[in-house]
Amino acid sequence: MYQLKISNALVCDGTGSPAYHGDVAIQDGKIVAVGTRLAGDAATVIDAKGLVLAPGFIDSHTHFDAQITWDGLATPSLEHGVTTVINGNCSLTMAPVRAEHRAFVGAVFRQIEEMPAAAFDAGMRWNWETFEEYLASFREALGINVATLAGHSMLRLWVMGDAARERCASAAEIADMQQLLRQCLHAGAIGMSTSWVDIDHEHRPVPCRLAAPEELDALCAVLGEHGAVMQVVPEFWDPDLLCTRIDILGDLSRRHAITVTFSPLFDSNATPDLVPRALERVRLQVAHGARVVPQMQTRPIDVTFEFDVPTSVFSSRPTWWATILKPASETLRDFQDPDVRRQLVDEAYNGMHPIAMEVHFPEFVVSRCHLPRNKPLEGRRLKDIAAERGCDPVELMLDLAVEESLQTRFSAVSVGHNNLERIAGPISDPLVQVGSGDGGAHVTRFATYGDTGYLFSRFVRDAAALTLEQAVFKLTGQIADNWGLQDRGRIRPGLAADLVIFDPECIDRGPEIAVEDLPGEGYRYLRRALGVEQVFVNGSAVYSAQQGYTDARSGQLVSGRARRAA
Amino acid sequence: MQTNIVPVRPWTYPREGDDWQSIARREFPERPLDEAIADLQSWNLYLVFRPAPARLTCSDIVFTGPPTA
Repeated sequence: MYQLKISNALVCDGTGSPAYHGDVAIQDGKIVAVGTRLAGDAATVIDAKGLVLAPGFIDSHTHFDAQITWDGLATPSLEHGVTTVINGNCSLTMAPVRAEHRAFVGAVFRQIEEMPAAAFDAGMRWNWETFEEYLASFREALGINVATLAGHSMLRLWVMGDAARERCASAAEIADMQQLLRQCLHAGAIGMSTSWVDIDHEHRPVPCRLAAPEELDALCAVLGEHGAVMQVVPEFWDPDLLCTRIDILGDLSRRHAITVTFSPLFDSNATPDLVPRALERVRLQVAHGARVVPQMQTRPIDVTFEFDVPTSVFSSRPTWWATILKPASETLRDFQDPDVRRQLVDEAYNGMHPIAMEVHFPEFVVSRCHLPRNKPLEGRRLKDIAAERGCDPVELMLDLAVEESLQTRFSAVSVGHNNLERIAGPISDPLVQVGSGDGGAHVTRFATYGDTGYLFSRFVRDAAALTLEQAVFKLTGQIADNWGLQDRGRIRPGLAADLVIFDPECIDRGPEIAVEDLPGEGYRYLRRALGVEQVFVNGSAVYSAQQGYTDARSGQLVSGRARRAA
Repeated sequence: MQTNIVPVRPWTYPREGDDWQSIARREFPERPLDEAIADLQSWNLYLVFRPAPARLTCSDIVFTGPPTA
């Protein structure tokens, strides 16, 4: 007798092969039988008629490094069908970190990943230093599977101390970093992440950017020894820079026989030729034997902001940027100063767009008002309210912000990566992996969840750019292959029973909402799932649409090829 | 594995302690220094306008030729 049998499902097995109606049996956390009309009873039988049964989705670009230490479910990923998250991207991890570097690492993480300080400080126990200790600190409480990269910036900090922020490494330091990376891989890291882009809380390059090419090469050699993966953030907004980086990654991949994956591959109206050029370059590198994998997110960029916290939407408009960098009292004063207002309005209409975004102020939406009398404005565009009132939309925004002491929340909706026609082709390209979702990051700016449902709603149902089977493959088997997660990503006997049951006609992401579920004070944005019926992690039911999350903590630390080779 | 892939643009990495002068001298030893620096900077605006306190790093790409037409 099986522990669990899911019957009458439309099985999308994660290979991209045509779906079929069938049953899947589960025992001891593994898939033990797959077929049509499977014989044998089960302690629990689920009739999934009319629904799709797929391998649990794998989210390859997340930043749950902090959250996972207080929330072993990585909410709300599970409810979107995600059963495995890959943490530690972009050179930033919570280990290995010496005690004396915790404050710095925390500040960098909060800056780059926009995590509220109160939540971070209240949630983080910091009862570890090594990578092994870090993984051990949360493994027992996992309801979701977690694979973790070792962050290049953390390797540098551990070996070089504060000099990691200042200079290239010596040969001896590089050798120490290699040894430290080996230790991380042996402890369970699936690879290493690095960045050519990120800056810290003091606007200085993150430590890994101080690495000379020979340092990165030496670390890639270690990855090659272990069959591990490297993730990197390149200059994703500039075609020439990105293509040159792809060449560098191609060389590293060939030299060390490693898979390198970069994120994001990002479409922008400012550079509409970027994605086709980058893909052409990837194709060239792959044809020459490299394993270079671009990751593309499914959703457009939405940014929600208040004026008491600087946001990148304004970074290319000098007066706006200078004004909102000031203390709130001074920002308020500037917003009322006629001369400053004149400049702000002028820049709003005539200023440069920020990198890879297109920001049109009148299109901003008033997403939350502080004063009851302004509540009727919520959900409306500035230009529509201004038209009613016979005023300028930017002046209206400034007036509202002043009236509510900078507590009005505005949303810049769909400001980048929003051209469905341009994105549909690349996202269906076999070389492109769905990723870059950023779960666990930017929590006070936008919801990074639901990209899985969005893939089905926009690119399968609306645009018909992908078949159902192809979309499932892109969220499961393809990622497992790229990252070396050999026992997941497919429905096949012997593999882990990570499974999701969903309605193909309505799977989607819900609207963005603010919730106050962080440790300490503060809120975050998230999206609830639509159409996801049940989720299983290693054979245990962890979520259902009817009952929500269960008490099961069946998640595991997932190792890739690296651990097996170590 | 060697390849014959031609770069999209000629480029180099900065060395530790490099500035525009030292890169110009190394990459364009035959050219007048001011002219070489001006060209280098015009091909690498993303580095020229990088806000302080960030600076050239050894992992940056410095283009040593103009963008393709």
